[in-house]
Amino acid sequence: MSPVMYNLLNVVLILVCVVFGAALLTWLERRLLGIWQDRYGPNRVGPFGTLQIVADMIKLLMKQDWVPPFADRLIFIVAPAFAMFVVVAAFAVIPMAPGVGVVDLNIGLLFFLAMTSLGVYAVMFGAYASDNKYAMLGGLRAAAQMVSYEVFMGLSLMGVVMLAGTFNLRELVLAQADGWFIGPQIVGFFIFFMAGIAESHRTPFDLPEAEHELTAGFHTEYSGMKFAMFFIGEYVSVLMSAAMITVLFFGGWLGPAWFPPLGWFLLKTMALVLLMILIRGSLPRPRYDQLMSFGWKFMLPLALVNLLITGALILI
Amino acid sequence: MKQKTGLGQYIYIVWDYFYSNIVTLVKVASHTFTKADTVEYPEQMPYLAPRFRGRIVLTRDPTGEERCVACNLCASACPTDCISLQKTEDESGRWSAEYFRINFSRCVFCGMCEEACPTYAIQLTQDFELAEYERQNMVYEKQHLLIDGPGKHPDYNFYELSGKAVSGRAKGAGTQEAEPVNLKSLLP
Amino acid sequence: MNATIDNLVTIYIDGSAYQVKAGGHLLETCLGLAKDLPYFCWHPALGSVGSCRQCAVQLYQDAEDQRGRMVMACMTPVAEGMRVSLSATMASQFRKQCIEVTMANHPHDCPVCEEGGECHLQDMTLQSGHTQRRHKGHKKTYHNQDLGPCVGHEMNRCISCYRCVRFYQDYAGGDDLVVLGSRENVYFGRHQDGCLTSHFSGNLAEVCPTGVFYDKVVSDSYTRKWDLQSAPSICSHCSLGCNVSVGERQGQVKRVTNRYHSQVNGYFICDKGRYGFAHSNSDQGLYQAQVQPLGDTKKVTCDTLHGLDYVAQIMNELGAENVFGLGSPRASVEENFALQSVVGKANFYAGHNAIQDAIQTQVLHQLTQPDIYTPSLKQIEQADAIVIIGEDLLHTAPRMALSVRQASRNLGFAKAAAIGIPKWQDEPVRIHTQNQLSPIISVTSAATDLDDISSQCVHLAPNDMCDFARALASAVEGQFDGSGLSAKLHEQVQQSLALLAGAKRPLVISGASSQSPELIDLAAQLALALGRQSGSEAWLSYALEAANSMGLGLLNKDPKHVGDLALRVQQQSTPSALIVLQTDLFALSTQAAALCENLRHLVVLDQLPSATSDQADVVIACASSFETEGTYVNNEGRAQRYFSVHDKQSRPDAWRSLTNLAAMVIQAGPCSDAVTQLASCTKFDDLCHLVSQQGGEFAHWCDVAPSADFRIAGMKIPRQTHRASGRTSLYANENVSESKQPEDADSALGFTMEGTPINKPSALIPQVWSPGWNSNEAINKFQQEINGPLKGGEAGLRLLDISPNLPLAAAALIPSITIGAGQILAHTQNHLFASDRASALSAALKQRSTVISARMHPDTAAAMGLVDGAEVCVALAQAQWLLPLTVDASMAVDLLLLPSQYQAPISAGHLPAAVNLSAVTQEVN
Repeated sequence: MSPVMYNLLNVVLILVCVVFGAALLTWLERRLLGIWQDRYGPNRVGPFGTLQIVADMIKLLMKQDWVPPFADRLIFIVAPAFAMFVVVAAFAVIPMAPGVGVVDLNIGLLFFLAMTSLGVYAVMFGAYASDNKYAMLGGLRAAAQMVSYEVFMGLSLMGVVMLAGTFNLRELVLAQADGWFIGPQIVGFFIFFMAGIAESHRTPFDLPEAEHELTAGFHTEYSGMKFAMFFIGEYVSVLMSAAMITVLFFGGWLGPAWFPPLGWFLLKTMALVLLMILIRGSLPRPRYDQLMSFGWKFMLPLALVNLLITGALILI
Repeated sequence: MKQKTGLGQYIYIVWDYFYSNIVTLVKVASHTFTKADTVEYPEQMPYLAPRFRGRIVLTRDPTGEERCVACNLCASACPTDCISLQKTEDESGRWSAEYFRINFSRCVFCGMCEEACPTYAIQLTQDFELAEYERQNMVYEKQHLLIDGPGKHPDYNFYELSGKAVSGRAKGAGTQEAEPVNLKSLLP
Repeated sequence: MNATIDNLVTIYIDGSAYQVKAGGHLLETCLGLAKDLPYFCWHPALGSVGSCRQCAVQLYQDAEDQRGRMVMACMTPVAEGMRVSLSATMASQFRKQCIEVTMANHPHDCPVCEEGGECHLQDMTLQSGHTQRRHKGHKKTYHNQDLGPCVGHEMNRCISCYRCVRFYQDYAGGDDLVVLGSRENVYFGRHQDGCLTSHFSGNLAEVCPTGVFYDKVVSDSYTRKWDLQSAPSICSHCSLGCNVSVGERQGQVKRVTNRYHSQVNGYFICDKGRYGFAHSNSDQGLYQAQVQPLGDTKKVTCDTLHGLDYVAQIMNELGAENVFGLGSPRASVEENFALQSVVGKANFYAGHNAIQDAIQTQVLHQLTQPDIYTPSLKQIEQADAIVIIGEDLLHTAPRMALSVRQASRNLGFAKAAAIGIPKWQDEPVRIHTQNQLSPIISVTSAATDLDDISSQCVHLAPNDMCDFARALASAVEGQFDGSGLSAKLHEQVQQSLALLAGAKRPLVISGASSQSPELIDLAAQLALALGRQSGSEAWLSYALEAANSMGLGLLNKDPKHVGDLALRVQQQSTPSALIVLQTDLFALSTQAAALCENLRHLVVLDQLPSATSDQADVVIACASSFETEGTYVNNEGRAQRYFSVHDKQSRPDAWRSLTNLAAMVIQAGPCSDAVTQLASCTKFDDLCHLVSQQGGEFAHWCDVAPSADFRIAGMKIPRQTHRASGRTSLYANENVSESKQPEDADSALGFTMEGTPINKPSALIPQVWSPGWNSNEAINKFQQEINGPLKGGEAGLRLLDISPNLPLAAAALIPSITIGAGQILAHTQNHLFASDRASALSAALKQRSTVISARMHPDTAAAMGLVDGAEVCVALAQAQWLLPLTVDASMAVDLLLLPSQYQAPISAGHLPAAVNLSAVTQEVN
């Protein structure tokens, strides 16, 4: 197989798997939430309700593709595509196993951070283009939240970078051959995990799309496939956060040899996804001011202290 | 709440929040092993309480006559105004409904009509399976509402107690009724 | 009512001081102060008898008295410094126990009782707090009677309050509803089954506090009061303008009930007003416009706008000067005005024949005289001597007959007042006065219903009536010499003169059914003479032909009638068209056929078919008075507005059709100002504004009732009650999606239940209801004081009082009727339940109309060789009428009375006339 073909296969397979994985995640989440709330969740379509996603897809495709007459048409259409684009693009740098991964950038971590910070634009575009007060409030909340959480998200990873001495994600994984960074960087993990949830605006940090206060926040006016792109984008973002945590703190594909490296990677990622769903199923949403003060007054100092201590330890 | 301030207090609060969230997560996760409360309806019928309020019926009295006397109280009690009827009268003076219509697409099954009914005619049953593809089919007329039995109050017969003369029951023949007054009598 | 009245006293009710009018009793005072106090036997119009023991209150000696004693509020006159308590435990316990005993025998049949939901007994039981029957014994039952087609009977429900007989016998003068039995077994009914004969029997359903007497016509297609969509209306059956409340459900008018007006009908209306509503539901009615294009033989139905377009084309073809309009005394002022505007004043004719026209002109001429005052029905009750000339009031103005009956008691009231018995002490007044009645002189051509209270009944032929009136007038003036009168008449005049001698407030009543303009004039002379004798204003009241006779007269002061129109059309060389508004030409005049012959086009606007609409080539169906709004001017010149009860889409308002017609006419070319102005009217208020621009009597036309912009708290006044049911179900069988409620741009009333039930202006009260008062007795919450005007002032406007005009011109004389050999003078005998087409369509009234027969004095019959019961043939011009003859010794001689009958060959409009009369020989085949 030629390297070009190999790379192409890599790209296509990963893209398809990621998108399908995200779609499947919607079903998984509903089933799990159902189980934890003493219900069944969607169990009617296909075996265990797995075809629910097909049914949902058909429904979303059948829906009228409606653009509000008062909306800014171009931006309104571009916004969901952009949301989808940035998360999928961020996935490009994630090394899943030796030889599995789209690109191997030496600044992979920075690329990842750059792409996730672009995500806020999609939200802002969608909110702004909708010309709707709930969407606007949701957009404002999203912007403030993502900008705030971006800060210590980056800082929390600096500990890992300091330990490994590289921005290259593959090298970061290999640097954990002696021990996962979860050990020395437990605080960094905690901060990054929180920030990851906040970046994909999921409960308990789903204030931009809080149903009870803002109907659906920034995507109030969206329906059909455009809504689906926001929606799937969110789940890709969940997958991405989990994959990134696996890579940075849980040694990526590393594991005993009786299981293939890709298997280890997926297993660890899945476990983290389950944890995120459990959090969604359990924790309530804070007030907006609580969210901001938690970010700025607790997480940021914590990230800085973590950085300081990590640096100090390395110097010693 | 403790009034202490300082770092100790700060750490305590952080720990408290952290701990409570962890406990929550564990408790929710423990539900993985509890049985679901869901009743899988079409295959499995749910338990309906004796006072469950479902589809409305019109009952008959023990003699098989329609109980409804078209007094209009159910219609006036109805919060969604979904009952309408028209009174008619047979030769003997017995009132009944000329038409009796319930628009089930508006009905909220609150049971106010049953409560208002002075003759136990209108009763709510346990049937809740009323779905239709055509909304127009949700409009029930008297022939759709009438059942053959007396429903919840098998012995009640309004005209036994009303004092009104109707076919088969002359004046004074009802329960707790005296013979009609004889105006020509001079006896004390 | 008026704080400056000097006879105010201060009383203390439950510790609070109130300034109240002296002379009344405690019950009416408390109710007037908006307090809730239960009662049964008392009725505001019937007075107190103190038999039901329900209005017990605690009366205290002075401020220190803590115990007090119990008195019946309805029997206790208010006095200065009186201290009473309604809430005292003893009194309220007593009231509760009383009702518990009353209810011990009351049947458990509220669900099947027509009164349920508007039952005074239900209200009072709840008010007194009784909820549970503790008595376990048997309930008394009674057999019922068949009381005819109008009133039903369910004697089980009786609580023996005696209101029914007190109304029926004492107030309305009926004699066939009596109290039978003895002790606790009293029975209210007739001696045997049969129709109640009083023409006011329908009021029993309202007077009875429970459901013993119920409205059978309502029961036939029964609707509870809370489900009725109601509107304030004015009865259209006679000229008195009784206020009625009309209830509708599902597009059908269900019932008509009394609507209180202190000056007009008070608490009661006649049976024709109550039961004569079926015409509006009739399947014989006109519901669609019909057009018969020239050359076609059949009319085709079309929608109203097409029909009007056709009429507009006719008007443009023939030219405005060749289109005539015929107004109607049955149509509202606005409708007549719109027609007058469309055709122009010069081409507008009144729907009267020559005699009716002369009478109407004469009536207006007399009533606009500065010395003459025409009293309201309430004021008629205050007259102490009444002369009725030529009018059988019970059949032409029934509510006025009831007022006259009340006036007859004034002598007794005065006598009782002299020894300190107040008017409301019903029984003492009656015992004290025995059978003494105020003088009432009834001069008619035959026996009338008022003869039993008349001090003198004179039955005269129409010409003799004129002589009598003339002689009596001059006798009152002291110039009577008796010359030219028969000895009998002379004696009768002397007798009348003696009766009228002491009168302080005399009143003369005459009316259109005398069919004699001269008599109208002579009645006024008599009134003036009596006025001068008593030193007061001359009181004169006329019963007119139809609901809006007065309005049409005021609108059309330069009177022109059907005869004039026929002549003009005949003389005209160019083809002409006639627009007829709610009139049957053929019933009006014998010239109708000739008139129709000469017309190119005949356009009829009506809600019921008639001989005229059959002849017409364009028929525009228009709303009945229950479906539109308008204003009638009653016999005393009181303009009163009525409002649509429901919205019948298929027949638009007549006034709207006429404004639409005007709009179509101006499209074709230049028109008169009147047409242009009319065309600009889009709402009823615009039209009222146009009417008011005429000035004179009409200057304040917009003030007759609040305009369509009137709002209470930003909301319209609801026609439906707040408990109205079935909105999402009534028409669900047709379409499960409910349609929007119709909107009413023409009045301040809405076709919904949204709006506030309080503080309604008196002209806009659809039906009376107050919390805890579901029956019509709730009216006490709407009155300023009991029997007083409604809060916010009485509705309507007396036009004759505000008019600055000089007296209108007198009518030209009508040539007297010459009676040829073998002929006899025929007059109309009105019958309340048979005279017009509107009541002829009411099944209940039809059953109550008497056998049709011609009437004659036995001597006259004998002279003509006729016997009682013989079949006779009456011939007038081409018309022949076969009917039986009844001889009646109470009648005047040389006179034939023909019944006024809907669709009769000889109608009231053709009379008086000299007719040929012959016996029909029975042919045996």
